[in-house]
Amino acid sequence: MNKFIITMTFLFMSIISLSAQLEGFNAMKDVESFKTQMSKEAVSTTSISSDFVQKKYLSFMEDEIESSGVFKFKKDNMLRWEYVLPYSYTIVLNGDKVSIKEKGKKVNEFDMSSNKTFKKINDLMLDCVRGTVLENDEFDLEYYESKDNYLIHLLPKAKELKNMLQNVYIYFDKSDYQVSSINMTEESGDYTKIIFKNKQLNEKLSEEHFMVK
Amino acid sequence: MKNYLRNILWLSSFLFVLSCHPGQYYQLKKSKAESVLPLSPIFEEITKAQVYRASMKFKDFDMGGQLVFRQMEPNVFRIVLMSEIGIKFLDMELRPKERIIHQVNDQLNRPIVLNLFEKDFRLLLMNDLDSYKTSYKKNEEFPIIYKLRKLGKGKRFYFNQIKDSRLSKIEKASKFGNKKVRIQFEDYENDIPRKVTIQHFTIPLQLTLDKVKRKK
Repeated sequence: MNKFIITMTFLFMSIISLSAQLEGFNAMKDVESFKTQMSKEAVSTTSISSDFVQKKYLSFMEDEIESSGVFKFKKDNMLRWEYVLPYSYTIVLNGDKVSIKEKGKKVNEFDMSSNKTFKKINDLMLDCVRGTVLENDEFDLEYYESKDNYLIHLLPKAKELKNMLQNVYIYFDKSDYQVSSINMTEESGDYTKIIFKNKQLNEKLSEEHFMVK
Repeated sequence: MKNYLRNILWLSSFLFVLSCHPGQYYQLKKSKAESVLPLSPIFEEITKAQVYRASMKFKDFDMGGQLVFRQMEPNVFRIVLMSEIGIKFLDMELRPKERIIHQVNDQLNRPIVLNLFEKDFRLLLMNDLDSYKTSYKKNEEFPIIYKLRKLGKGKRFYFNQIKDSRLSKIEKASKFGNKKVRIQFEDYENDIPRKVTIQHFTIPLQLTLDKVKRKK
């Protein structure tokens, strides 16, 4: 009986969560044209710099946990994820190498292949920003659009990824086909929302940004 | 047969001597119970969720993330350990006599790891004090030391600071008095420690927690 109640609760929460994400969105009319345009943008985008705000919602908390920082991407696979508030913490991905800097000093460095879960999450983040998410075969995809945005709904296929994330919603600006926000929801209804602001495309980024000393 | 009995006698004597070993706490002096307030959990009166930046060090490997916990009702805590980007490693609920795992990452989903986290979090949140028998000790540095014992569970020592009688550290020891875990509380603000360090002495594991400043 308990199992039944829990299953029904999760099912109900999933439906509520899905309908909240899709409010104002309809099924995408021309998916092929969207895919073609995404591929073009992915080819022409060599770098991205952006500010971000991250909001973590946990059902047992009174409010969201908010953090913010700066995000940099350089083609093909260099990513700098720098939290500035409420504390300083930087993750740099350069190829398969992950470096972590805390309070101004390097605290850890490891090969991404040593941690499968970490690799999958980071592949997803990289795919989102460089526009190759449509080719990620770890997920089933659904396509939606509103007046100003495209929305891709990603449903993880593998059990280990499903265990962490039930849905990933990626919102793109219709004007430039760039990611404007990502919402990762869990089975419990808890979620992480990342909103990108002040985007700069194709500006010259030094490799120094992707090295941690 | 004679040799066998002699060996048994030697072994028994050795075990007896070992059990009488005073450990690291033998120098503590008895204190009068009347002058001591009952021991109460640090987070007993706090029902708002607490967010700490967590740094875990195991051997040469460092891992960062956030630890969030909240008292849902008296003696019931919800605890979440997650990565910086909000991916949960562990979502656990601790009740006085029950542990509920709401979510766990495949890599942590092993009884030995879950038991270790449960024991550390119970020690930190002090949500099982009622089941221990308390006596009182002191030394030159700490005028009030609560010594808690439970049959078959070893000992625990809670050291109060002199100047403000706040809890300074908790030490968990084996039956023979050897230190197993220490939790150090530092830099209190509004009765909440801003820094907490959980140090293990039987395995190379350290968890450091720094309170995250949040908008009100």
